Amino acid sequence: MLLTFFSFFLVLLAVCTALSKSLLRLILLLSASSIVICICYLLMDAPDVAMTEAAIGACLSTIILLRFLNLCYPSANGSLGIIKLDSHHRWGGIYLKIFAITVCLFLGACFLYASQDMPLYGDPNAPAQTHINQYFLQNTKNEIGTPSFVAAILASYRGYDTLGETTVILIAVLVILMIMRSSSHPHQEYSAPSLPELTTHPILRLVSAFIIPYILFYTLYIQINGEVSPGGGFQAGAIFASAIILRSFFKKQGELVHYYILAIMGVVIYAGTGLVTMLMGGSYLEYSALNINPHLAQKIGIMAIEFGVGVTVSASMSLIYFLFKEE
Amino acid sequence: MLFILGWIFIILGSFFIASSVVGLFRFSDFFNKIHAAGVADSFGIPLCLFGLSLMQTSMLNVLKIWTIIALFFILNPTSSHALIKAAWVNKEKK
Repeated sequence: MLLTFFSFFLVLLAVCTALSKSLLRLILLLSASSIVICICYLLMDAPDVAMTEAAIGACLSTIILLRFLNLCYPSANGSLGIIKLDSHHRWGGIYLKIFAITVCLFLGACFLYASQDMPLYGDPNAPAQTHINQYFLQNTKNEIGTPSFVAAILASYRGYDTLGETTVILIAVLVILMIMRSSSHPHQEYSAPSLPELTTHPILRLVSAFIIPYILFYTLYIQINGEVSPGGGFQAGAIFASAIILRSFFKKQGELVHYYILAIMGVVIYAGTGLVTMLMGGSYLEYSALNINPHLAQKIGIMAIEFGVGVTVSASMSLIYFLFKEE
Repeated sequence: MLFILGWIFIILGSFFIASSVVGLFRFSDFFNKIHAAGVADSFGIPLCLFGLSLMQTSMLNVLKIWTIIALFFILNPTSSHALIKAAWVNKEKK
């Protein structure tokens, strides 16, 4: 009942936000809808997500947006009563510092008081150990068959989550692309190394030539051993991207378009694995449909999606570097 | 005995890391700051790692840590050098 009311309120706020013309009103409406989403999460028994939404959605992004508004239109906000955070302002300087210190001390005292209710670290009776952890510890060996429980949870039990995370990385890259480049020349190439003195520099060349093969080898090791030992697609992708970036100091590493295609291909591989399992008679991302032997099927599925994750992460991280370098 | 020696190395390394952090905030110039940061990278962390390697009992772990130290000695001065070189070249252009 309460949830329905707040959801309705959220739709109302969204319509207001879409129709609003004033930038300041827009920011405040976004903040308000963030708070309403936070209450919805709380009603749906997800206090951790609610706290994140309150801290990042309602607080941090509002402050950043207000600050940007202040920077872009310094004259418009003065009459609206927004406190300027400059040190030479009437409200700035020493008063602001005293206020901030008081708030920090008060919050710290609150946290210290609340931490008395926390269970001891590693307490076997803590709620974190008694609910779903027990299930993972008892059943991973039989159901998934991988030695690394983290990989089993990440890639198999919570495959949907990881698909979402991979897509978030892709979306982040697309947003950076939209901010950094105008749509008029999408095929503009990124410039060759900007400092020609560095590309022919002997020390850099020698050390890079020494270390890049090891980085590539290590990438392969982490990628393939993802379901046996710590590691997996995310880490391997980041390490591989570092090798690409290091090599791009000396030689142009392909067109930017190829990186977009690779970043999208990774997500496609991940989602395609789900479609393949559906074609073979299971539900989405149910790997046991891939083979008669369930453990082998899990292994194939986990390796396929880890490969997709690795491709997306490496292409995205190199792309972010190249896009920022162009500016 | 080795244990105490290891602790001495770790404390020495921590001192260099702390001094480099102080330098990173107190020095004025970019080149001075890179110098301060390089102290932690090339000297503080390898000293700490060497102290840790003295405490290990298995030879495999010792070899792993020494490999990391060798990599640190090769890579971190190179990265500091690349940063300084890039800054210097840019400065000359201006």
